[in-house]
Amino acid sequence: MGNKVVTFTDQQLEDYQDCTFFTRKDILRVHKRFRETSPELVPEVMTEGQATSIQVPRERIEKMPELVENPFKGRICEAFSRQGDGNLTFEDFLDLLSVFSEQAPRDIKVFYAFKIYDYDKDGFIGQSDLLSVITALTVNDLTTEERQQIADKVIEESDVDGDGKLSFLEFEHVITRAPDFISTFHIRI
Amino acid sequence: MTRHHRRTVSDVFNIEVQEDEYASSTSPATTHPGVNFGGTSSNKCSPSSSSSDFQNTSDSNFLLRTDSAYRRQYHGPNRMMMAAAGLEDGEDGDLDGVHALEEDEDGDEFDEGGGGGGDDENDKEGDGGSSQFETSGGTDCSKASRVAVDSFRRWSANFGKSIKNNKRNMYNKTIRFMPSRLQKTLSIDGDLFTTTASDVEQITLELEQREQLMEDNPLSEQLRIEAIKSMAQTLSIKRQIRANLTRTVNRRSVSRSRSVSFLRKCRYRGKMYASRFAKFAKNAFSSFELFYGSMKQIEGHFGSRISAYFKFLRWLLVLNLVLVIFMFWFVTFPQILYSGMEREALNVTMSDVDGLSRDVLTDFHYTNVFTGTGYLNNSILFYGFYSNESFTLLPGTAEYSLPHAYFLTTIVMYVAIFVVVSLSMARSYKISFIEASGAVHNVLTHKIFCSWDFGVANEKAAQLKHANIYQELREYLAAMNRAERASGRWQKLRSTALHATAHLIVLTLIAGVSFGLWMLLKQFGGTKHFDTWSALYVSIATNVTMLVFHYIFQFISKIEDYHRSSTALNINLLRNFLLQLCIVGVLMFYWLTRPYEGCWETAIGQEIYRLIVIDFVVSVLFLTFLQGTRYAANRFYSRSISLPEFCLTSNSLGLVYNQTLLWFGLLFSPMLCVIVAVKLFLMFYVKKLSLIYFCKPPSKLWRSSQTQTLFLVLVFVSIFGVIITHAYIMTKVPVSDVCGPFRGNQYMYKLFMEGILKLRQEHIFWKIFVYVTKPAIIGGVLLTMGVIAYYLRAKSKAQIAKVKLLKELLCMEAKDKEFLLANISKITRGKEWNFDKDLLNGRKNSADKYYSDPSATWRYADSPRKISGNSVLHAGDEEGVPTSSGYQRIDEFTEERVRMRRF
Repeated sequence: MGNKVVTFTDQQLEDYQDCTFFTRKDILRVHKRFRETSPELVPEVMTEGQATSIQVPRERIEKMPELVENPFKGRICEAFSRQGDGNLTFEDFLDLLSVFSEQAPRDIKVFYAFKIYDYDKDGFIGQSDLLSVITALTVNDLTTEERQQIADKVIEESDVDGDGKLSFLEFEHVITRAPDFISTFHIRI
Repeated sequence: MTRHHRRTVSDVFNIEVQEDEYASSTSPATTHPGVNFGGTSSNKCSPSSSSSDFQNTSDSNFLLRTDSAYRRQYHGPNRMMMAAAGLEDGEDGDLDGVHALEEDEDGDEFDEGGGGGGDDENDKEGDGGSSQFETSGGTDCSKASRVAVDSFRRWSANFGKSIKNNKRNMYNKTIRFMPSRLQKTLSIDGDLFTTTASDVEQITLELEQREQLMEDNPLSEQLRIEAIKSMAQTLSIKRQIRANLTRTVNRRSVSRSRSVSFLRKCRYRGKMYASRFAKFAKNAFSSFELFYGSMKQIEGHFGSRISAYFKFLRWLLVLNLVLVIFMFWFVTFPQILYSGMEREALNVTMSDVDGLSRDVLTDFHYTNVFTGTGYLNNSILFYGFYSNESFTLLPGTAEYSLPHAYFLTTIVMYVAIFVVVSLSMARSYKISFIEASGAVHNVLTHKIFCSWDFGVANEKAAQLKHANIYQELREYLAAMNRAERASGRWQKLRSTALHATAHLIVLTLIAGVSFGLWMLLKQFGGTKHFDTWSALYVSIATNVTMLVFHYIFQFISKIEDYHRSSTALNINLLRNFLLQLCIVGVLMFYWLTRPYEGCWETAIGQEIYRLIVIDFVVSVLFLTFLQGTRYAANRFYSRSISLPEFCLTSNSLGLVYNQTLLWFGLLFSPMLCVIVAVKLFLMFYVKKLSLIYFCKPPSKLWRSSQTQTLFLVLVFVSIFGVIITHAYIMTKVPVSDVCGPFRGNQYMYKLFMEGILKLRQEHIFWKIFVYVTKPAIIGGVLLTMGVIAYYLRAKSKAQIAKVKLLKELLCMEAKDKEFLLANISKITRGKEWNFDKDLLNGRKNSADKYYSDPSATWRYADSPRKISGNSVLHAGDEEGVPTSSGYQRIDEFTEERVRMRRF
C-alpha cells in the first residue's frame, strides 16, 4: 500500500484496457512481470515513448518462468516482436500475454498460433515447419523417418486443396474444431 | 480505352468479392476461377477486352480499395524496376476518393473523379508493366505464374471466408466486420507480418464504413472496442486506430448534434454509465478470483487436465457460497433473531420443555461434531430447530413468516441451481461435442498443434509432457504401421464375451452391495444408537465400500483391456457413479420408508451430515495420509514403490457425491451448505498439498474437456434425481407434528398452496393445476418434446451431410485449381496448350493421384476443342478475343455437376 508510484497515466491505462483483454490490475501485473525480466532496463514509471522504445532482449524474455519450459518460446517472441527479431517492448509483451489470456477469443488465438508454428514465415505451414514443430515437441526422440511420416500424415489429414502445405484457412478449419486448443493455448500470468 | 481496361479489372474483382460476401453456398463459387482468372490474365497480358458498367455504390468503393491494395502487392515485383511514384499516386487518388465520399453527400462524383485519376495513373504503370513483361520474356514467366498463384490463393481465401460468414450469422455484427478478418485475407497473400502506416489508414477507413460502429453511443463504442480488441495487430497500431476512430466519431457527432433529442441523450448517458459500471464491476470481480495463485501453481506443475478438477471444485464452492448467502440471510438469520427474542421472553416464564432443551444446549461433546447429535441436535443446523411462527423483528414492521421464508428460499434455490447446472452442462456439451464433431479424422493434427500445454511452467512437468507426447506419437505410428489388428471372429467374440462378463460382474457386485446395505440398515436401523460412535456405522460402511470398490472396478477394467483408454475411463466412471447412485438411493429409500415418528426430518438431516463429515475424513484425510505414507516409503525406504498418482476420476466423483448429498439434505438442514462450503475450502488445500508434494502427474493423457462435460452431466443427473425425490417428499410424505417450520400442515406444499395463494379445492387455479398435471397432458408434452428433439436431430444430420458434400466440392475445386495452375505455368513457359504425351507423363510423375483420378476436368481436357485463349499465350497480342470462353465451358460443366449432385 505504501507504494504510490504511478506506473502509467490514466490515459495509457485506458488505452491499454481498450486494446487488450486485460483489466487495470492485470496490466499492472504484466508490467511487474516485464520489469522482473530485466529490472535495470525497465523503469518503474513508463512513459508513452518508453513503452514502445525500450526493448528487452529475447534471452531475458525466454528466461521468464512462464516461458522457460516452452519449446516454442523462441517463436513466440519472434511472432510478437515488431522487428521479428524476438526483442520485445512493453507493448509487444502486453500483446503477447493478452493473446494468451483466457479472455482472448479463439479467432485471434488461432491467428497467432499459426504465426508461431510457421517457422519459415512464408505464410504456410509446410513440411519443414511441421518437422520443426515435431522436433520441438519430442526433443529429438523420434527418428527422422518417423518424423517425416508424421508430417506427411498431418498434411494428408488437413490439407484440403492438395498443395502439400497448410494455409491459414486450413489450419483455422482444423484448429477451430479441436476442443482442447483454447484450454492449452493459454498462459496464466 | 486504357481506362476501360482498368475498370474491367476492378469490375472483375468487384464481382468476385461481392459474390464472396453474399455467397450462396455453391454456384457462385464454381464460377469464380474462370472469371477471376480471365480478369487477371487480361490485366497482365492483354490490355484489350470489352468494358462493362462501373457500379458506383459505396460497396464498390470499398471493393475498389481492396482491389487497389491487392494491386499494390501484385505489382510488387515490377515496382522494383521502375518509378514507383505512379502507383503511389494512384493509390492516394483512390483513398482521396473515399475520403470525399465520406465527407460529402455528393460523393459519387468525387469518387468517380478521384478513383478515375488513380486509375489512369495506375494504368500507365500497368502498361509499363506489360511492356516490361514483353521485353524480359522468359525471365518473367515465373513472375507471371506467381501472380496467377496469388490470385488463386486469394480467391480460395475469399471462398473459405464466405462460407464461414454464412455459417456464423450470429457473429455478423462483430466478427464478420472485423478488420482483422479483412486484414487477414489481405496479408495472407503476401507478407504476413507487414504493419505499416498505410495499414492503419486502411483499417481505419474500413471501420469507418460501418455505420454500426461509428455512431456516437455507448453500444457502438462497445462494438468498436470489441472490434479493435480482436484485431490481429500490434498494440501501437490498435491505439492509433482507436484514436483515429474516436476523432472521426467526435467530428461526425458534432456535425449531427442537432438531431439528438433530449430523451435520447438521457438514454445514451444512462447506457454509458451502465457500461462504465460494468467495466468497473469486471475490474473489481477479477481481483477476487478465488485461489488465483494456487491455480497457477497447479497448472504450472501438472497442466490443464489436473487443474480442470480444481476448477470444478472451485465452481462448486462458488455455487455453495451463493447458497450459503441466501440460506443464511433469509432463513437462519431471522431464526437467530427470533430465538434471541424468545429466550428473553422465556426468562420470565420457564416451561419444562425449554428447560430440557437448555440442558441439552449446555452439554457439548466432541463426538457431536461427527454424529451431528447431542448439542447439534437442536441447533440452527437442522430442520427441527426452526420455528413455525410469524413474528415481527422490528416493532412496527410487517410480519416475517419463517415457514414461508423457509419454503420459498429452498424452492427458489433448487430451481436456480437446476437452471445453472443445466445451462453450464449445455454450454460445455456444445463446446466439447457439437462444435468439435466432424473432425475425428484430424487426430494427428490435433496432437501436433494442440497437445503442448502453454501453461506448463515447471521443468519436471515439461519433461513429462515431452515424454507423453513422444509416447503418444510412437503409439500412433505403431498403430498406423501395424496391419489391422488381427481381429478374427474368435478374437472379436472373445473380447465381447470378456466385456459382457465384466459388465455382468460389476452389476452383480453393485446389486450385492445395495442389498447388503439394505440388510445392514434393516438389522441395525431400528436400534437406539444416538449419542454414541455407533451412529456412524452407516456412513463409515458406505464410504469404505465406495473406496474399496473404486479399486475393484479399476482392477476389472484393467483385465478388460479396452482398445481405447478413453472408453475404459468413461466406463469406469459410469460404474463408479452407478455404485454411488445405488448407495444413495438405498439410503434415501430406507429413510423415507421407515415409519415417520418423532422429528424424522432432523433425523435424515443428521444422517446426511454424518455422511458428509465421514466422507471428508475418509476420502480426504485418510487418503491423503495413505498417499503421504506411500510417498515416504518411496522416499526413504525403497524406490521400487512408485509414487501415487492423482486419480482424477475418483476425486471428481467424490465431488459429485458430496454435492448430491448436500442437495438432498438442504431441505432438512439449511446450514448444511455452510458445512459443505467449509469442507470444499479445506479440501482444496488438502488436495493441493497432497498433489504437489506426494503425487506424480498422471501418465495417461485424456481429453479434459469431454470428461469435464461428463462430470457436469453426472451433476445434472444427481440434481434431477434430488428434485424428483423432493417433489415426492413435499407432496406425499406427511410432515412431523412436533418440530420444524411446517408443523401444523399435513404436507409441505400445502403451506404454499393454502398459505400464500389462499387456495381452496374449488379455486380456478387449483382446478387448472389438477388438470395440467393429468397424465394425458404430461404425456402430450413429453411427446411433443420428443418430436421436436427428433426434428432437430434430423436437421443436424442433414447439415452434417451437407458439410460432407461441401468438403468434397472443395476438394474438386482444389483439383480444378491445380489443373489450371499447372497449365498456366506450362503456357507461360511459352508452350502451346496441347495435351501431348510428355505433359501427361510429367503430370503423372509429379502428382499421380490427379491423373489417375477420373476428375471431370481431366476428362474434359482431352476434348478436341482448342482453347481460344491464344491471346493469353502471347502477351502482346491485342486482338479482342474473348479470353475466358474456355474456362466458362469448364465452369458450366462444373456447375452442372454440382446441380446433379444436389438432386
